[in-house]
Amino acid sequence: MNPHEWALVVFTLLAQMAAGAFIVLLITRAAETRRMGKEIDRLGDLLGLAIMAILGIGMLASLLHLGSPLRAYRAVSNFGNSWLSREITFASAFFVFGSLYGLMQWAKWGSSTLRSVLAGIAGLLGVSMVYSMSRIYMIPTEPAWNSYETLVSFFTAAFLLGIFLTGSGLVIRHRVLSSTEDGQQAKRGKLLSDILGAYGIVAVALVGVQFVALPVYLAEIGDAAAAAGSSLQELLTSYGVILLLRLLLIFIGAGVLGAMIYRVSGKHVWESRLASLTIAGFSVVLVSEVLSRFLFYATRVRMGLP
Amino acid sequence: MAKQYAFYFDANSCIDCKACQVACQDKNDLPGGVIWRKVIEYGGGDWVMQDNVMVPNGIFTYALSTSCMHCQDPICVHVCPSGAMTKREDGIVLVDEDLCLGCRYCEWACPYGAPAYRPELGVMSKCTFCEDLLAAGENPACVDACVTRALDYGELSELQAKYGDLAEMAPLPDAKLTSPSFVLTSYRASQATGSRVGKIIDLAEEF
Repeated sequence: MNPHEWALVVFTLLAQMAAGAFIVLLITRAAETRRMGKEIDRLGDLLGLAIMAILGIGMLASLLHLGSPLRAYRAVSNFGNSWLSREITFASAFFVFGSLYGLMQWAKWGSSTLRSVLAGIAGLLGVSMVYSMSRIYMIPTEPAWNSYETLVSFFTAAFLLGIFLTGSGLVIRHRVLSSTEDGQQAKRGKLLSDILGAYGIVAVALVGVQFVALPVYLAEIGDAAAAAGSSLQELLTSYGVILLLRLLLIFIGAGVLGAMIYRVSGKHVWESRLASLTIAGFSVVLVSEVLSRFLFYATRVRMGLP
Repeated sequence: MAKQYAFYFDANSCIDCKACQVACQDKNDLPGGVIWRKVIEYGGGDWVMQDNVMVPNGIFTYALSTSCMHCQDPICVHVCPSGAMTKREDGIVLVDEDLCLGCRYCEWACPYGAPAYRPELGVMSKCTFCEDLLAAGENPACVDACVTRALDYGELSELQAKYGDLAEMAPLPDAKLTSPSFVLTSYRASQATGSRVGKIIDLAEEF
């Protein structure tokens, strides 16, 4: 793998994490606003901006992979043909709309309807960004990438990282708010416990999707290696340990910890264990997804001549 | 004016001398490691013991000289985000080094390994078909440098009329991927595209 491709590992993961987290935040707000509008506002009001900061860092990292970063603005020029142009266009638009929403939500500017509309547009732009990002790699000359597995792995990464990032953000905000007695801790704690429980069960389901997709991935990469005159065995001897570690970590991080979060949340009261489990889950899932994305770039096998 | 410039390569004549590759580096003043035309050797087979003597078993090797194929369906032009990679009226695919971001997506996409990154400039570069020489009525440097007349160039349809329409053999990719503007005469030992009988030999030495 070229050193400059590490910039792409950082960019794709942070951008996908931001899109996933933003949508998880939107769905959470939509589901809880009627019942707990005030409390969900207090828990989530800074999160929109925080997610956009992560997207911003990712986009800055993407510049590091360019030979001529000052010309980065030209990357949107071929929107009609190039998925790379589409990715950068959607990422920039997601950043603009997401930041506008984040700022207005934090400062309580505009009506809540206007903010919801902005957030909805930003969410759609985020999904379009992740879709375009997947399509960049799905080109016929790159058989290891030219698979629905690319879509599956990018979207599951987005939502797994998104769930744990939004979960961790809400947990940290709860800690900060609860450091000053406001009489709402118990109510907010119950709300947060319910939210995390839902996140836990979705995380388990997403790990299930990743494990179902795994044999497809191995078959695709085996065929790809053959097409490029190599073999699956060679790839697995070079990277087998990393692949096993990645699978073990995603099973522990999202599967086991997700299930534990779900169980603990079943008591419908705040338990500080939930905070530790959520933040531990985020860390382990992040490491696993970094390894997964490293493998994605490292096992690239282009057809034809070197 | 040509509608689609194309290269011709005769695998029977090529002796792997690399004069074309060196002429290209020289004419275009390319630094080491930035290669627009390359000659690679492809071979396979092994030795087996027969009556206490090692004898060759299906051993073959042949050379292949390629540059940018100036494809009719150029995947580099489709994927380029900045519009720096374009296909001209005469079929020549060019990268505008003043517009290129150096994202290297074309390098991922091209199955001929044609776009070459120039680290000192931070942009991609590639074979120009010596369009400056063509405009002056001269031949591309690689074609003129070939000592065995293994290389030729011209209008694609005329080359096809003269030499046939073969455009693939191992280790070239499936010609359906990008429709290369390329005509090939194969060698008697040439393997089909996708064959795993042989492999590219001594790659590190070549570049």
